[in-house]
Amino acid sequence: MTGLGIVRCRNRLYAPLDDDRSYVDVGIEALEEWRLCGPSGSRWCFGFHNSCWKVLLLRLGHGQKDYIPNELTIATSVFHQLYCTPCIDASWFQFGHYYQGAAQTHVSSGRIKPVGLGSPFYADPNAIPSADDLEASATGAGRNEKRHPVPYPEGVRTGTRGKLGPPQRHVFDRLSPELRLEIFTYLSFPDVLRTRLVCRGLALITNLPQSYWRSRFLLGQEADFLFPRLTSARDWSRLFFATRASLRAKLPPLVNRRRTRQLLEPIAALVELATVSRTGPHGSVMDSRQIQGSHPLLEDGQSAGKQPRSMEMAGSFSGQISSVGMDSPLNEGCRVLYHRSQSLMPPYPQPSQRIGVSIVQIGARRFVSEINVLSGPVGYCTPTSETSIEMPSTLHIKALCVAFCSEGLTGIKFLFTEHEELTLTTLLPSLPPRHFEPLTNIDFGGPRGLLLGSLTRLAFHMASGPHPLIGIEIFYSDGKESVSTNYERAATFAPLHYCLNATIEPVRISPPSNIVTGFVALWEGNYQTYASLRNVRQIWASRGVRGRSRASNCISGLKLEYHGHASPGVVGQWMEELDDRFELSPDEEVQSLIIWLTPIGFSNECPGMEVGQAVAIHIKTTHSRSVTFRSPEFHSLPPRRQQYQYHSTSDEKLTAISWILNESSDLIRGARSANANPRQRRSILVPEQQAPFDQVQKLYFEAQSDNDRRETIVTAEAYFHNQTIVGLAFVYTSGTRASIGDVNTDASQRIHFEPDAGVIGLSAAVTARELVAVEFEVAGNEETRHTKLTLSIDDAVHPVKYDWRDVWCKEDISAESYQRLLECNRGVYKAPSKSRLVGVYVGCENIARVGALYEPELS
Amino acid sequence: MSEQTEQNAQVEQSAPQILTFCTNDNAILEVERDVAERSVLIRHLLEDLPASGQAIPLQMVNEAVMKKVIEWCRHHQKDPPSTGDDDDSRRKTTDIEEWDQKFMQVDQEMLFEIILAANFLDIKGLLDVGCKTVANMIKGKSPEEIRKTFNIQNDFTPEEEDQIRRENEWAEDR
Repeated sequence: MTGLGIVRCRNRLYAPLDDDRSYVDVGIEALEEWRLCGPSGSRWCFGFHNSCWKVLLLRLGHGQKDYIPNELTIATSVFHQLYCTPCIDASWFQFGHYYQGAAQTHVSSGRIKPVGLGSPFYADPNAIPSADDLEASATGAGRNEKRHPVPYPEGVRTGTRGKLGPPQRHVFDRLSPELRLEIFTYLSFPDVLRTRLVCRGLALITNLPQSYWRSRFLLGQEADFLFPRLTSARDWSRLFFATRASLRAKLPPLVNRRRTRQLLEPIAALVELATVSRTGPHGSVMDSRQIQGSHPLLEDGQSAGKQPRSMEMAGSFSGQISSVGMDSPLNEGCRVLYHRSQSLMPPYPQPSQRIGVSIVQIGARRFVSEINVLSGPVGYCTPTSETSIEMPSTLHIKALCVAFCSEGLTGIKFLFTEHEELTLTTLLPSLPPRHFEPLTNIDFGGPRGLLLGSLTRLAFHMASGPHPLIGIEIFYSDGKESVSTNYERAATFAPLHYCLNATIEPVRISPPSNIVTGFVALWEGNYQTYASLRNVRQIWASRGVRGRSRASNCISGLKLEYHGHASPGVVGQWMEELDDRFELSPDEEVQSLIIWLTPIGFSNECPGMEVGQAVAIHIKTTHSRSVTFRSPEFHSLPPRRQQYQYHSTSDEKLTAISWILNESSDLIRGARSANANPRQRRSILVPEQQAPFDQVQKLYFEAQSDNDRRETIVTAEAYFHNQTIVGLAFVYTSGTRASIGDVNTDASQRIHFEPDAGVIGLSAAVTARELVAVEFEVAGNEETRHTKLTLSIDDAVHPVKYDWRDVWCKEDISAESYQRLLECNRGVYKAPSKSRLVGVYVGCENIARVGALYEPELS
Repeated sequence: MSEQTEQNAQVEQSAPQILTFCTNDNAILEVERDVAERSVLIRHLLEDLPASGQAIPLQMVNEAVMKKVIEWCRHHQKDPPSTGDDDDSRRKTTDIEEWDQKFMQVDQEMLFEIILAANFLDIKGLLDVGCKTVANMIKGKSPEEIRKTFNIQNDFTPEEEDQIRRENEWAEDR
């Protein structure tokens, strides 16, 4: 624990290191800086109000004789609790309570609200009057009396007893007055008063002894926030009534004391539990134990001496937990989209090893997306969010601790040999559950459920974000789509947070004889859909619907059904199913995806990026079968201008399709994952990819055959459509071919390379979206000079026209001379140091985005 | 006397000592000494009286109630012994652990009998559970609901009820 510090700017605590010092003692300059609630590699902490800490210590010590708080134990327990509690916006902890209105004074971002000195929220809960002062402030009757008549009004000294008729017998008569009192000590004062109203016998409870009033201050009773010394001899009834009177008068410190004390109860209860339970409330330590057979089992490390408790694997996330084999995890109700394993041993000894973790945020959810551990990355890497630690090579990973929540993997901890322990990333907060409140009832069954017979489909429109449900649509077999309200009643269709801050403007319908027949909702922002391309059994397509966000000549979405799984994956939007469908056999995989878009303009988010709507999707499989989905209304051949191509290669396999859409445009991409190939090439892209990132297709001048022989390029082929290159193919010594783009055109060209000729330079001539010429510079042997081989249709009738030319040079000198010579060169690139040119790449979305591939030179 | 103590010690080591009780309806019940000593009354009795082997008479408790009491004591045999009055100096919550809640699911007659027996035998834990159970039956209820719960007749005249109500209001505002 640090000493008492001060939060000077958002999420920064300045505090002395020494836990018994305060920022006031040491001066501002001597304070150390800590990041608040930001579990990270750097120095960070959780903050606890000093005043709340004091109340917590009072609560824990209350009524315990000679209690000396072990602040370290308490702090450890509190730290674990905070660590395991979601912290919203790194600002407030979601313990499940409402903070009794404090949320009004708290803003999680932006300008801090001004301090309201009159508000109890800002009053020091420890600045309350002492018990003696409170007792002395009590007014009313009973001064100096040892026993305190409860309900005798001033002047009515005769008491109730004399005025009531003879009481009838009842069950409580069996108990002695002491036993009755014993029961009453569990009842609040208002409960006791209500009990008096039950019958004459119980109305006679007029004199409650000091022990009752003292019990009001015991833990769990109504005045258990004052924490007076329980062993003191005092007039407990006066203290009780004075405390009540001060609360009724809204004495701010006392009101805040009661509030704070109640809020601290869950924490205090867990601190007390932590001292009795060995594992603490924050989880168990599991050890792995090798059992007969190959799979290690996880065991509760705390159950020493007892029968070890093995950890059970959860078989599904559907609410039923079942024990399943270690080799078939998550096979029920859960689809394993894609999985990879990675050795935790480095491929060769390294002086130090780096472990990195990427985190992605989708909507309001954050989770771990990638682990980059020793031998290579696994998962989806986002370099900007990756955090990493260096691990000395003397250490080895002993165990991994992982934290899951319903949103995914939220934390990873690496345990190393020699008892070193490093935490790389930590539990991240999730969003609080919102109150569910139905906004409107949509009666899709109709009167007496008559419409249920023709109900065919309910469509739920979802968005990414904290309020995902944005609409519901109802379909009936007779083609009706309807939403109805009761006559003259309003219905609002909007997410809750919009309804709460709504400014309502009535729209006049004119002329009044018109009736509203439908609504159109607009949603800003992009919506992402995603589906695996593995184990696909059948593919369906949907086209748009006139009057909706996609017209009927568009392809609005795909539905993929899988072998071995009942639930299909849908990408894009499902509107009107096309009759065509495409079936794949179990050993058949999707080999390539070609997507045609009709351009509709330029992106608002990425300047210069042309966007469009999907009109056709071509899918080819490893069995050389293919299908093209397009709307029957789309007659003309898809234009080549906006054509995206994604292919599996020897290095990378198409594993998924991502379809990002908004109200006007689609962005469809194939997701590729590296094969587990030990000879996988790690080439350098020149120029590097820039946002908006495109994926690339690669062609190498050298191919590695199956028997590990290197083959060189013998022929390069270019395929043309209207003078522009739409496909490229390389043929190697053994006759194997590699190609990118469209290689089924009428016009093509080929150039031949001398055996063992080295390609040392490259140039490409392009227009905005088209590639018109590629030129290879080939090194000659000792006799011949460097030669240039060009692929382009350039003749007297059709001289090649281009906007600019990019050049990749072998040497720095030639790069400089090129720069001088060619004015319309957009880029002159030179090889990265100690590397050689090994191939060429083009963008999957834009073939005119050409670049060179380099690899480090082998020494 | 020293011989007696030695004998006792031997007995304790070998097998659980069995005590015999005679309830007020003349039933004879055998209980292990460890279990019976949850009752402070019985513990003190055994400390003061030499073991005679005769049945210990329990004038205040019948067989059915005693069997319930023994059941409770057996379940709570391993609980730390109560340290006297300090126990209640700290906490007064009406939370009851799950086993005890189930144990207390008996008719009201039995509930009050258990409280009386626990009080007589001085079994603090059981008395607490009994009182908490009754308190929970009262907590937060209206007078009419309490009457229904405990089958109590409303014997107030309207004037009397009004008077109590006024007295309560005065106490509330105090």
